[in-house]
Amino acid sequence: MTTSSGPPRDDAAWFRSCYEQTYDDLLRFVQRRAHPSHAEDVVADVFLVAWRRLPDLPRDLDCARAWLFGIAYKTLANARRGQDRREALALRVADHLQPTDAGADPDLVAARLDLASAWRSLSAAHQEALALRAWDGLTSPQAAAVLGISPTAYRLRLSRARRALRTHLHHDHPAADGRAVPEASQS
Amino acid sequence: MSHDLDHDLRALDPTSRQTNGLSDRALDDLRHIMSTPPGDPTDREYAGGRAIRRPRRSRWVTRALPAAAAAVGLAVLAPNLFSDDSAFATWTARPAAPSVEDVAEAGRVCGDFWRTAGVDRPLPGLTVALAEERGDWTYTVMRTSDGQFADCLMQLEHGRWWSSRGPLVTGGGGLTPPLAEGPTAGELEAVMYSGSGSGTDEVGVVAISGRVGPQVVSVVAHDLTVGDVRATVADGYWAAWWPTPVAPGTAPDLDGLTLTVTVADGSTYEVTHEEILEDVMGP
Repeated sequence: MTTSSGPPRDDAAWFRSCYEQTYDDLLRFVQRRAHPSHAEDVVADVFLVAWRRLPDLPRDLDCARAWLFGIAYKTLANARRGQDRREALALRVADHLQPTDAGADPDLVAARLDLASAWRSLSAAHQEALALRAWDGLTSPQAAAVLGISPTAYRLRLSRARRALRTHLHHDHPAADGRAVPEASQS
Repeated sequence: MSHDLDHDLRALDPTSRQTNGLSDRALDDLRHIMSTPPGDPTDREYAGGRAIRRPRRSRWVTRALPAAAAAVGLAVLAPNLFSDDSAFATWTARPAAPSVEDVAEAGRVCGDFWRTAGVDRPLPGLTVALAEERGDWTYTVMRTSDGQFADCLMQLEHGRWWSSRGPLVTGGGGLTPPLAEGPTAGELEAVMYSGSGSGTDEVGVVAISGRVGPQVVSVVAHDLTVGDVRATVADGYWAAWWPTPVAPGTAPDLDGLTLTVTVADGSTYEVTHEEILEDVMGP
């Protein structure tokens, strides 16, 4: 009778490399969607699932990262079921967008506050579609896989989300329509 | 146009892109994860390399999780088991019955856990065999139509099904191979028996559950640290669990546990820990 002491060395090395190279991205993915105090717990859970499913872990780093996002998304979705739906599904936006930010360009702050306000008016599905692209940097096929929908459906959702965001910007802050948010000045 | 919008949205990203390498916590998690056997948590290696045998003479089957697997299951817990700031401050030695709604929710959450936990064999007809509450915690024993058993420990109010650490914790304790017919009359069978540590903290959990014949009316577990813990006995199943101190990075010491089983005629009998292990692991 033989027992195995672990996975093939290459697999373990790949997992470690993947962990080291995707940890920060995955942590940010979770922090955007869950309370930051629990983010590391969720990330640990996700990597444990990945470890258990080592043969399924894509050998391409970018694909692996998206695959891990998908596990995290599912993990968070399960966690949300017992919580207030709106609270659970909404993605947070930066909480440093305060008009009192010392040294901040007033126009910059105002524009970002407008955008943040419009963002909060979006449905959770539209927020998610935008975040997967703008924040998580996923391609349409990758984002679709995270959400469990087809790439075509994701592209449609993303398009509608962008349109809805612009509509909210226009309705809530007419002056902001078409105005690009200026980039933050470098200090 | 879309590019501009994506660019603008990046300014709303609540997370920082500054990185300083893996944190101590991340490195610690990596060590813990890679110290567990990969793959199906129900396979032989995952069970600590120990063969889990079917009972031969009596009706005992146990499953003890390895310490490494325990890192999956349990939470950040205060060193003092039952202090106000402990995750188990509300734990009680006597169980309560959850509401019908909570049983359904516990079953759904636990079922989701096991369906997504990397178990690659079917879990047909996974349903709740027993659920019990001890304070904020709900322990759920699940069974499949082909005789497999699985369990979860969770805080339902948080809707969380599993975590390696953190107060919003549930733990998956174990999953058995398919079992044959259950016990009859006043017999008791332990199906799952797990000791789980948090990996870095000083509190773990011992959980034990199984099946009983129709004449068993009560089961009391005698733990050397916590004392007497009354099990839930219902519909042919029984279960109990309790927090227990552990050294960081280790699983609870499972030695010394005994059970007192009371049957309908008022008689009792004792089950020793040695009997459990002998029947399960072989002499």
